[in-house]
Amino acid sequence: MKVFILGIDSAEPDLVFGEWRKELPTISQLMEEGAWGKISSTVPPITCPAWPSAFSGCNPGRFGLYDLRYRKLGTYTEFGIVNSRVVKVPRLWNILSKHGMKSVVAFVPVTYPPEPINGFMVTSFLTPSVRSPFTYPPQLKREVLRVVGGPSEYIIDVYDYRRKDPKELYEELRAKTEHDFKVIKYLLKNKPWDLFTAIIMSIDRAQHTLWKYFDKEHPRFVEDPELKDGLLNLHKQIDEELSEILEQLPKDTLVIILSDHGAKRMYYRINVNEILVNEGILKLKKRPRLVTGLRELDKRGVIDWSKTSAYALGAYIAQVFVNLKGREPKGVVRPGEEYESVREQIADILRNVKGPNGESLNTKVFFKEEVYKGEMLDVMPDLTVYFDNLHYGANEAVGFNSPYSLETIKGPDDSNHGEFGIFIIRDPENRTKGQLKGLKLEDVTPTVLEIMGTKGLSKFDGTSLI
Amino acid sequence: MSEKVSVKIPKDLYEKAKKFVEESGGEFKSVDEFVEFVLKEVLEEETEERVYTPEEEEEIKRRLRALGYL
Repeated sequence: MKVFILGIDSAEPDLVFGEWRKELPTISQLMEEGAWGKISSTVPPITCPAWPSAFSGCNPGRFGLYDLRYRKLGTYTEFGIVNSRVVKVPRLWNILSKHGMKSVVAFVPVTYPPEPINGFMVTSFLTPSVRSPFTYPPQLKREVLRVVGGPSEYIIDVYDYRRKDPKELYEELRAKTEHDFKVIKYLLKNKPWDLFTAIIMSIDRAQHTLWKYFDKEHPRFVEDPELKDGLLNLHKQIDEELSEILEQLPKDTLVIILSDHGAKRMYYRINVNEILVNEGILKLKKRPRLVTGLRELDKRGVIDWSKTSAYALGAYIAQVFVNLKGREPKGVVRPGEEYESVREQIADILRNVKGPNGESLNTKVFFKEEVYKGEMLDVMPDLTVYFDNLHYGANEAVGFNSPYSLETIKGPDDSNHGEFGIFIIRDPENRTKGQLKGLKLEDVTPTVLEIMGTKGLSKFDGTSLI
Repeated sequence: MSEKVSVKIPKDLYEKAKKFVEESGGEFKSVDEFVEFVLKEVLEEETEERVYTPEEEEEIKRRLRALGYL
């Protein structure tokens, strides 16, 4: 059986399955004809590790990713950018290639540089530039560029979106969606496939900037007749494109629509390192007078690592790393009892951070061995923190003189990622119907392989839904 | 297990590798296993480092900063 997967990065179940369901007729019809439910994202619910988890069937502890960047070995604040070669576990298309089945993989995050597969690949927003070899096979690039009208018309991503005029941003996101569907429809029509999978990124980009125009409960809600339906209209655009695609699919195609995480309104950000400095956990030789990023502080030699027991990374979700002896370049915390007690102490401090008006926050702290397993456990953050269950973001920088801020040093932001994504499956054989519960991203790959008849050939953390 | 092929290396290098294997206290069972390990190490490092040129890496970091991730 053929499988078509459309990923809508960051689509929020409370909106898509809730108040906007009637506005999205194609998605709504798929729900009625098939099965649907909220799907648990990875910890943390960030594009990477979430998509690699969905497409490998593995929890992030097996491939060692917790963000779009990763700490370079032997450093505290030098980062590498996530790329396809960092993910050592096989992904859906690698497995299918081995079984002689063809895949088309379009705009799936963490596929650059593209690798040889039995099929066709166009890489995603981590593609460096239009000059880069972003397709497999390499000659496919020429076709893709022709479809969009030439190299100058090719859109890798929508940049600098928080500094743009929101109306201009909205138009650019519409254009990006249209551009991506042009390529998707071309590939659908012209390339052979058993699995077709494509990811649309525009909703993720839109939510960070357009959320405040529709959500009246947002603390920074803005009344704007032109933008109030902006985010909804971007969903509708995808729904319309999807409708056109469904008509073109062979009748026996199983359809999956999913997102890697959701989104929710963000109130403030917690300045985690500022709190760790105040608690004596992160030691600075000198406090910065201006707001300064952690990397900059480290480069200037301001952090006294010999007296630091932990520090935090992460812009949306805090990732705490203990300065562990034997693992970190200047580690001081001894493994075992001391490591455990440092983690407990920090978890306790962060769980008890109150809101700006003294209100309690519903903060969740995950210890790494509770949420990850696998060969790469050692590189994962020792603690991951969802402040107020993700209604509060995080900040790495120091110098705010407050535990909260509205902005990062990069600018304001309306929404954080949510811990659930959407999942809809329409099976021509009707093996699954109605509302599904307890889904997780790791289930996606085993499900697809089961459907495609390659059951039992690989090991996964997830299980097939069928 | 993937298919194996033969590779030629100078005899004196082979002898050195053999001595290393014998002294490895069982870490490597044969020269073949040792050579395979060393090659993998080198190649994996190479591929990870070569994904982005420094200019490309800066460009992507600039974009990720704009996306709010860095």
